[in-house]
Amino acid sequence: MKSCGLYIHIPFCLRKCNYCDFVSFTYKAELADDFLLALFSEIELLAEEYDHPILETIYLGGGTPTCLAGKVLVEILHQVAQYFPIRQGAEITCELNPATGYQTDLEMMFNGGINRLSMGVQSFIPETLEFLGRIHSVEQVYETYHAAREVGFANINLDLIFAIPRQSREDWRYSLKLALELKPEHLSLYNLKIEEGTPLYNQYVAGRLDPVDDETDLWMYQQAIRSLQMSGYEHYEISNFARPGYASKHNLGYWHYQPFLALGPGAHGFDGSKRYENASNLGQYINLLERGYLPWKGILDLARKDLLEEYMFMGLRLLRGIDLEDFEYRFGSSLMEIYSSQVQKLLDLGLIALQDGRILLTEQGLYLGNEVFVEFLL
Amino acid sequence: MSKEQGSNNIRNFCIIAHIDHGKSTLADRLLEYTGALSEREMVDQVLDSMDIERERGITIKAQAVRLNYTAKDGQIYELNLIDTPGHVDFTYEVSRSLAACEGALLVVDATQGVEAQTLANVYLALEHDLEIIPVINKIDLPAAQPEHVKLELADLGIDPDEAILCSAKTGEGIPAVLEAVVERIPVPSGTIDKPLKALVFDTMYDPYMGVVAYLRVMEGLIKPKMSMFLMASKKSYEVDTVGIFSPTMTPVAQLAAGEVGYVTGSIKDVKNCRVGDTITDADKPTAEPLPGYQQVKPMVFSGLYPVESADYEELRDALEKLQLNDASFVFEPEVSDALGFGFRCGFLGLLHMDVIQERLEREYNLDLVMTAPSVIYRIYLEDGDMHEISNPALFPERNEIAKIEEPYVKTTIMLPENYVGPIMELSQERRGIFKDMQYVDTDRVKLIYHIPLSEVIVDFFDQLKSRSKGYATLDYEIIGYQESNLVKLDVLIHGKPVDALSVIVHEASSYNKGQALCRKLKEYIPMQMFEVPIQAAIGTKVIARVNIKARRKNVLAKCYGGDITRKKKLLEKQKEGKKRMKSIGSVEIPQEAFMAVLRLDDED
Repeated sequence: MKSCGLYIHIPFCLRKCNYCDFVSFTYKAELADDFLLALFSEIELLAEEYDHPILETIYLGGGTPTCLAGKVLVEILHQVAQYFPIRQGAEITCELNPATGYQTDLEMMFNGGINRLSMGVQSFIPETLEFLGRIHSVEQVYETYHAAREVGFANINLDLIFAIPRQSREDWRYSLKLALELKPEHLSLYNLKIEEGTPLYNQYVAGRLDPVDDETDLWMYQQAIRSLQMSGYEHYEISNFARPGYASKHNLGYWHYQPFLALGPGAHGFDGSKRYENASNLGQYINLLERGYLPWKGILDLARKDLLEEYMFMGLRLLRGIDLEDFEYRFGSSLMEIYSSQVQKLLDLGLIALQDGRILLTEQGLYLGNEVFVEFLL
Repeated sequence: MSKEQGSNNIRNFCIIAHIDHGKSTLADRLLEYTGALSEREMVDQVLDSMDIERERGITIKAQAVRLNYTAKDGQIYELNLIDTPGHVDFTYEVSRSLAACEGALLVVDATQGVEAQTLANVYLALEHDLEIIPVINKIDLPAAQPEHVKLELADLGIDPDEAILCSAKTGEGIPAVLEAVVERIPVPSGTIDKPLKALVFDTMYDPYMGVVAYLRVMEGLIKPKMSMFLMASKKSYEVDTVGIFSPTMTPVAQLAAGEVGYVTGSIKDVKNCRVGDTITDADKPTAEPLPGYQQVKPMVFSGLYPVESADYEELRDALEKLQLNDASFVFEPEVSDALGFGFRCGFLGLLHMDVIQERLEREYNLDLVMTAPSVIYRIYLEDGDMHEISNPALFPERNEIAKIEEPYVKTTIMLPENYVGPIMELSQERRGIFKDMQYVDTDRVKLIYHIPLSEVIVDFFDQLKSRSKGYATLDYEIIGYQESNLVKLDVLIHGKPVDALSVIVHEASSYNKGQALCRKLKEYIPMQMFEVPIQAAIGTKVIARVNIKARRKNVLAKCYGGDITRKKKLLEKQKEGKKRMKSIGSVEIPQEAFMAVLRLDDED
């Protein structure tokens, strides 16, 4: 592995959102200090483990990375830069909660090398934000967004969520419209999935939530695709849209099934042949690193079967689909040798197409992606 | 047990009871008290040896165990306890077990009183001239009303003063039960010097010994090396071993008139040694077999298909193995357009069917599709021929049929008076013909109906329980065939008839049934990638239709690096779910859908 992406998981939030099931803890200064010490030694250990590969992209995610001061985030990057060579002009993204982006921090981040922001806006409707358990207001979205622009950020993504219980079709159109008015370079639109173990799930089980029906979910998705395309965004992945040239390089790495390293509790890294999983318990994570070990809880050696399956369902998420030559180059046999009956079935169902040496989802396939992906499990 | 004591010190008895009245617990206590098992060896309910029996609290196979009991008179008695199956599906087996005894403990729950099966069992016991010892059990419970139960017993013509009060749970009254067995149950009458005459009252299959026949020697004696002849199956075998259950199998030198035990003789096929057959000495046969032998016939039929057609041979092997142990279970190959290769299986009743299905899935790890249970219809064609058909898919065209007859049962339902209304309503809905209603005491009623068996096997018992808050109890017996105006209801999924979903219904209710069946199927069949119409039809006439809407959206919104493992698990789960479904054309149908017709009443 000569080069890869790097994901850094900052496991803190001021408050966890009602739909979130990622690894995150309530922010406390002492805890954050312990974490940072651990993270610093993890950076060093991991760089040695993989012999200092070149980082093509860096992504600070969470949690809420901006729980930490801008200065601290920059220190993390410095530590990374000390142990890894970083590609000239690499995309360096940081996730941002609109409630935590102060001008001074933003300046610090921008000057420290972060060149892309991903803001969790989710909705422009106060009631919806409250329902989701977001800690920020609509006003804060504007303040933070404009502050970021002023500081100089020229590549900003906004996250929005649709198919939320009690969100009307009109609500969704309204949020889309306001998001587009801000002219971000990138938009990620997610349909809400009610994950087990979240407050929303508990409400759902108790019968206090009507999940959104298929029709409405689909309508909202189609509506979004149409209005974003009309505004000049390219729909390049199931949930992602970008102005030309602004597709997320870091995330493209995942979908192209390129290797990436990962740091932080609960993070998963993939080096091309195995996947490691960090301890998600913060205490355990810190403890292992204090004793000088990488905090790996599990290592999964990926068999050819796994590599094939994952390559397929990651790659098919891209609207361009998968390059049949790339497939053959990677696996030494053609796609049709391995998946002929599946491909035929999906072609018959009209869920995929073969075009210009690529295999890709049709419009129907886009809506029913899981039905396609499941076929490629061996 | 020394031989000199002869049959004077033998008592053969069984325990009869309604389900849950404590039969197995009482049997355990008797075993424990007489030291047949030390306390350390006691596992609760030793006699119910199959897992499924223990889970459901019912006895499916008869069991026999010898207890050595030192009575108050100082003598040692050989008590043979025969535990009878406790379910209406096995009435014939019960009758054979009773025929092996001279007396019966009639166990009645002190809180529940006399129930439908109690009645049925008392009548059976009386038919066999058994001495009945009433035992009122569970007197330790606060709700026990032994005096009330005594009154009910008196109504049955049983002397209430003879009733023994006991608690099989605490052990209270157990010595009195054992004393009563010795004092009141008659000494077996047969003599040792006559030709051998022994009753087979149950069988099991052992892979090493072949069929193990449970037997009661009526006359003469049986011992190893002699040649035995089974009079009904007309087969001879050399006796390998004879023995007793104490309670594990223990070989003995011989079994003489009056005794209970087992015999083996390398009998490979359970069909050659059926319950009710008479074993005699091939060299010196008895003139007449024992009365009462019947070849029990399955009453309920269902198609069994592997979900994966590759499992067909495995299913056949499993069915063959189950049949080794169970002569009343039959099967033959059958082909369904929709389900492929499978087997038509015959069962004594619904419980028997459930037990077999569960054992196939649990012990043999097979994923099965089972079609809705059916009965044997007698179809008289216009040309005069009569066909017995249990598979609705094989019904002739309507215009070829002159008339159809179906089996009827007489149901005896016991219930508290305030549920009479709802239960009469249920019986009418099921085409029941009212026959009789009697008050067994001031607030309890016995209802008698004649109901088509096909209506009883479909969810009748569950409905009876739910509409009477669990209080009504049921017993039924087959009474013969009657003509009915029946039609075949076909189901079309996505325009294609699915033979495995066809059902036979009464014409008058065919429209409602068709509607209900379509609605039920809509609940069971998940959304597909296209709209799927479900239709019910009689002949070419569609009488009901619903549509399953197409699945419009199913796609993971987020999938980044760290998610791969989790997202893949999700997809794998989806794939597993698909595997358990049967693909019919391009529609994937879950196993439960084929039993949808059993659940038509649930929505009310």
